[in-house]
Amino acid sequence: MTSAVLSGMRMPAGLRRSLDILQRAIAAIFGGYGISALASIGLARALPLERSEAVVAATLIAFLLHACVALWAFAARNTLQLWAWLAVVALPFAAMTWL
Amino acid sequence: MKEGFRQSMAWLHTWAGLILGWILFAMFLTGTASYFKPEISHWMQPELPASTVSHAVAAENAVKYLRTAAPESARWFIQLPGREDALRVTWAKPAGGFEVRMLDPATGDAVTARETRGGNFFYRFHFELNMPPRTGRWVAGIAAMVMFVTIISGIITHRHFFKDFFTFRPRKAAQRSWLDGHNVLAVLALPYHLIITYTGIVTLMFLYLPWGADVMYGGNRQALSAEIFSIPTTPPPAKQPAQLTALGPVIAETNARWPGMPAGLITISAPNDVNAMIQMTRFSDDVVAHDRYTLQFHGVTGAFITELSNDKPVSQIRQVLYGLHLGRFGGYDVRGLLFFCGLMGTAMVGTGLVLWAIKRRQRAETRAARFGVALVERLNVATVLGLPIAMAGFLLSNRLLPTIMANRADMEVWIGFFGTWIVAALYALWRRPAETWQVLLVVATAIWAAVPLAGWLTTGLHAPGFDAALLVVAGSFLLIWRKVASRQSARAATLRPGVAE
Repeated sequence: MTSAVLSGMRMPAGLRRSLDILQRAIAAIFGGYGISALASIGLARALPLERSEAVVAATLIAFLLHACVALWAFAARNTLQLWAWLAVVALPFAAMTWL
Repeated sequence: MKEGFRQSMAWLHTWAGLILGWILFAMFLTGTASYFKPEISHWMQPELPASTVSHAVAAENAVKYLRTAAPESARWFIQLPGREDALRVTWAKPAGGFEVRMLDPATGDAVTARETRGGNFFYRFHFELNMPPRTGRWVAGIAAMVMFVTIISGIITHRHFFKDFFTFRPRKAAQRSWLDGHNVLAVLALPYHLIITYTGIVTLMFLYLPWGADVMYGGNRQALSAEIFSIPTTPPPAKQPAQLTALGPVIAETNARWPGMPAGLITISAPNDVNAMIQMTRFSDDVVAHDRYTLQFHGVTGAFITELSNDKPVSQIRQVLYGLHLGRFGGYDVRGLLFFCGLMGTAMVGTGLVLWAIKRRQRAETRAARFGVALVERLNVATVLGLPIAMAGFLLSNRLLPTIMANRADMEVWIGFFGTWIVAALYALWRRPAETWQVLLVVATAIWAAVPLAGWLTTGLHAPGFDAALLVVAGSFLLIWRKVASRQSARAATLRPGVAE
């Protein structure tokens, strides 16, 4: 469900706006939490610190990332761009987690 | 969003702030009160005698009591009189669980004080909201994250940050002056708002984000805590009886190693055994970092063994953030300043909620919109005035309920706190806000003034400074009521020209 698809269909403006807000809220809450969870693992593995230090540092930073993602979710020009950017941001943390 | 960056941030600020505004108001206010948790607890248990003896005497008296009350226990905890006057002993029961007693530091006799949750009730409510702990902590964490996002989007929304800093137009139209008030409260204490919100999340960070820790430690949370906090290890009892060393010299050596920073908690493992160990842990009110600085001594010989402290930079940063949130360091000056900042945060949330309704009252055209605005307006009164009235109700019930009754501590919570709140909230939902603001401000004044009065009548002048603070709160509500009343009568006069002339 992207705004490109949605705008192709004929939809009342109110419903379209509601769907737009719903997508952004999902991105802010669950996308943000997903990225911060991924970052808390990825950074803990990647940071060149003692194990306990890396875990604490990664978790402290992860909350700040969640806040940034939440703000971005409502600032992005459209939801297609939003989801694309979320995937791009998640990529390096996913790499740190699984590589 | 289609609009510009600032408009979309304004939208986010408005709606994120509204959705969790009432919970945030309650978290801010009860958290602010918790800076004075020891003082509140002290006021709520007037039976506990003030400590007049040294720590060494108090500790020896505690050991004397524990020897007869809990000889079989595997672990004794002695909380020395500090900010809270009481000498508190806790022991692990052989069958599991713990038992707690308050003692008179001078005699070592158990003291029966009225049952109460004391200042701990506001403290726990602040992050558990009286829900089951795990649920409440998650709700509080979500609210804190929303607060964090709301503050940042508020900063972005705010166009003329420094110009508005000096802008307060109390006599302008209602919406302008509420907006100015909201901005001044937000900007003036902005570092506090940001730090208190982020550090609040940090206090429970491994509950919210356990993933890094779980992956790196294979789900073994204790291993992580042990590496971060260097948790002391104690040998199990050898089942050979031995005499526990005198605590006086142990306390003296602790004072010599930590001049001016006395230990507040003594933990004795395997007491009355050859493997007894004594841990002296510092009060957390002498440094910002919330850390367990501990000295370990041998329990039979009294010899110093080791100092346990956290010397890792990142986890020290975390402990400083934790300590900043708790705000237990410093004297009345520092805690007073933090208390004042907390009140500004509370008022910032409160004015934000009021502002939401005022902005929409004029514009609400559909029936649903009018209902929404009316509901928010009434919930605002039910929270912004209902909660402080309920907090006074909690304190008042501490003096008015019989000192000995079944489930007394629960009754203070359910009758004193929630009972009062429900009555105030039902009234606020039932009648028009123009009336309920004024009436409940008068009620708040009366009930906050009634608390010290009930205290004098039932237990005498027990904590004069605390009573004076209660009267200041009552006086503040009186001042706000006079302000609101004069503004409403002025508005009524302009609405009906001719009547006032």
